[in-house]
Amino acid sequence: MSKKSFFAFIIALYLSIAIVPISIMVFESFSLELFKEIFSSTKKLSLFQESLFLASVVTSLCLVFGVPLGLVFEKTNLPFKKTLLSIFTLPLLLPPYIIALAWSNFFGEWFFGFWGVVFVEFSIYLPISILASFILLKGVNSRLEDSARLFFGWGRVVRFVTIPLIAPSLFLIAMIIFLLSFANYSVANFLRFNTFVLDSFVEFSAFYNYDKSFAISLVLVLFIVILLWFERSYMATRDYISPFKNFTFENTNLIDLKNYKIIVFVLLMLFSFILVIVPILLLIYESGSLQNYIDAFMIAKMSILRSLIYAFFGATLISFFGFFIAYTIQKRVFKSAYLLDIVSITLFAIPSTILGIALVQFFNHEWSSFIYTSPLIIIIGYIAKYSAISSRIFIANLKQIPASMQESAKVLGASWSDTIIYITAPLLKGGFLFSWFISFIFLLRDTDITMLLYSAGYDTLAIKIFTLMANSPSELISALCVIMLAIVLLLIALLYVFNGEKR
Amino acid sequence: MLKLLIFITVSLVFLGCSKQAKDENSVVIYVSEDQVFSEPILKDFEKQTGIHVKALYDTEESKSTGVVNRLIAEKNTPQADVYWANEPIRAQLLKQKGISAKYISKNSKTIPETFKDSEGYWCGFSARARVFVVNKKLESKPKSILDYTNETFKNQGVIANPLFGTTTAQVAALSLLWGEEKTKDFLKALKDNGVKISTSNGESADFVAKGRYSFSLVDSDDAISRIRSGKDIEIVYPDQEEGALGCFIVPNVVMLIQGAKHSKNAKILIDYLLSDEVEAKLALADCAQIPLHPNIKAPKELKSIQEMRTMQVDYKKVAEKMIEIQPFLKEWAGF
Repeated sequence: MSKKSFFAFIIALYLSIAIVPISIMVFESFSLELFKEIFSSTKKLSLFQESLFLASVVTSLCLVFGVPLGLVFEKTNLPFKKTLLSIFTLPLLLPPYIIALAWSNFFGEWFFGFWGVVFVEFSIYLPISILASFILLKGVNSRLEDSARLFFGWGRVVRFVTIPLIAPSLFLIAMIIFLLSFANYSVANFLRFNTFVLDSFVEFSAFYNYDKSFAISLVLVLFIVILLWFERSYMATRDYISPFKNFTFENTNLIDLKNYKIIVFVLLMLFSFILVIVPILLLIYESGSLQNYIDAFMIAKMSILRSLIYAFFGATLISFFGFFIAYTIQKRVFKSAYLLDIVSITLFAIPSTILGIALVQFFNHEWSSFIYTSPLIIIIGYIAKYSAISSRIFIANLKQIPASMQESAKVLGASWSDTIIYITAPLLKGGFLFSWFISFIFLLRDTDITMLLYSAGYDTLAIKIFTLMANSPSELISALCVIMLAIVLLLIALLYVFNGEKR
Repeated sequence: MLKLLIFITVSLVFLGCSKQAKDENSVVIYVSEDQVFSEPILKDFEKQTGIHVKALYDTEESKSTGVVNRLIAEKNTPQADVYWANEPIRAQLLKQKGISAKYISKNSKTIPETFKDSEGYWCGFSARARVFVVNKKLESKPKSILDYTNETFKNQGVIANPLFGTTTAQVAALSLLWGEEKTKDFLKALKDNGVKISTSNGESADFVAKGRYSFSLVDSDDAISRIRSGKDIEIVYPDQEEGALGCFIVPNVVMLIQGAKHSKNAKILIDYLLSDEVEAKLALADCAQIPLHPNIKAPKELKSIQEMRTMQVDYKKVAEKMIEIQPFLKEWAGF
């Protein structure tokens, strides 16, 4: 089979499960009148502006704190770096709603509103910024820094060499955080701050007005397309650095913190305690005795198993499609391959309620009941929703594989498939691991897509927590949340062991 | 590459088949009643009949609207056989959309006519009353829902978001009884009096239990669960004087879904849910539901339907009114 045919098949498969359902909904629901109504509504425009402002504040804070933290973890001789980095990534492992619940119980009434939403989203998305900066900094060519250090101190080297090298990639991370914040409605809903996407949720959930909900989402889509066009223009002539060469903590180019080591360590411990440890301690405190954990486990054991299975298969397939989407875009297998990027990012940002309903309406027929009434529909929902994360990771990774390596393989007579299997794929191992891991976490904690697609009697742990929240003892809910956290921590521990053995 | 493709294909087949064994001796129920209360009832049904129950539950934040949206989206190829709603208004909405099917259970005969559809498309059972949950420290207690606008209680009240759940139904009922203008004025005055909007009745009850607010209109089961866990709150039945509005009663509702794949088992389940046995269980459980069968005792903490003044409404008309007032409610809630 030729390369183009194979890629066409894979991409067609992706588009048929991801974009066709939404496209049919567009065709059936599109109404110019609704758009006019939305754009002429000062209330809607005001909500849009407030949502933009909220997402901008969250993104800015994540970058302002995340990049320096990433720098400290990667570039300095701070003690216990691994432990601190692990602590800071913990909020990523829980559903945002749970973190909002924990903090609002702690702070009380004054926590509700704009700044409460900012605080919760900042604590949730900061790990993305830290991890991304940490990994990007690993890929900076140390020889460039060494050359600069011949003339300047670390301060100027970091400011004028290191940070500019990772700036284009940071823009990508900033965009992901921005979209995550803009599209999140569960935290805003809980903390009683009205946002543009929450409006779409209300139209859908309370008024069954799918058309209006969809129209609001299409405004979001237009906004994303503009953002992506801007990103494309900004990034077109800029190179990414190689972020996944060597996923270890070893770095020979460390900044010596000297006498400031202890102060920095204490400050970071304090920061991590306030931002991360406190809500988790609240959950642990709320969950009470060991018996509560046992009871929670017995209630949710099948849900836990299903969550792990769905997340495992979902993350694997997301990474599979993510790779092929990224390869198609990066290597320009087709002329308009860049449109795939727009499609995947749009599906990522569009409210899950809209995507879910589109999938329900498309797959809920006799001919497709083997999909709709099985876990396959959830996996399809995951692929549609989260492929963008994976494809973006692979795009950044693919840029660093020298074209000469693949050309050499071609000259020696290797087929396109052999080149991918024996040259490209091994070089992408780090990227695959990272993509799989991030996808796994997102899928394990997903409720929005799963809620609309799971079959009766086949719930996941995240869904179980949400459905039991109403009038169940708070100890049970907290224990279930801690169990969810423990599962992912176990996975991280396995990852460290695996990574350690590989070295 | 080939090995990877085989692995993926086999995995997909495994996933696809894992639930596909046609289980004839089963019934699929979508449930809006809290899982913690409804699941034990369904498990008892399974034990007694041997019919495997597959349940899909609603979540707190989208109370009664998430599952309803699923039912609407699946209308052409329904997956559910039965819907257990926690209030009759959305059940009526589903009837209007042609999603429910007619079935009159033998166990519905002694349930008062007010609490069932006249054409047999749904039937009520095990109700809650909309009551005030009041912090015991409050010296002067509210007696009427109009006290939400009473200056004596400024900044002390909380109410669940009227876009979702039973609060929507009650506001629609008020609109029917008072007229739209008076209801709108009431809601505006409520806001002016500093009443906070919570995300759910459960959250409202928690706020009052924690002392953040003094009182809230909630479902009686939300109140009872906090009282039984030792919180310092009490129940006040609103509008009980002669000639007053009375309590809004919110029955659970069960309905057969049009085109149900397991209709025989669905009818057995509906008969079970409408039985004396289930009403007795739900009355004794932490949800403390008020039985509609006259021969079943109410929970000890609550009055029976016969002992309290109740709002006299036609749920069909309340459902129609709910659609009409939704644009105003949306604006009022800040959207």
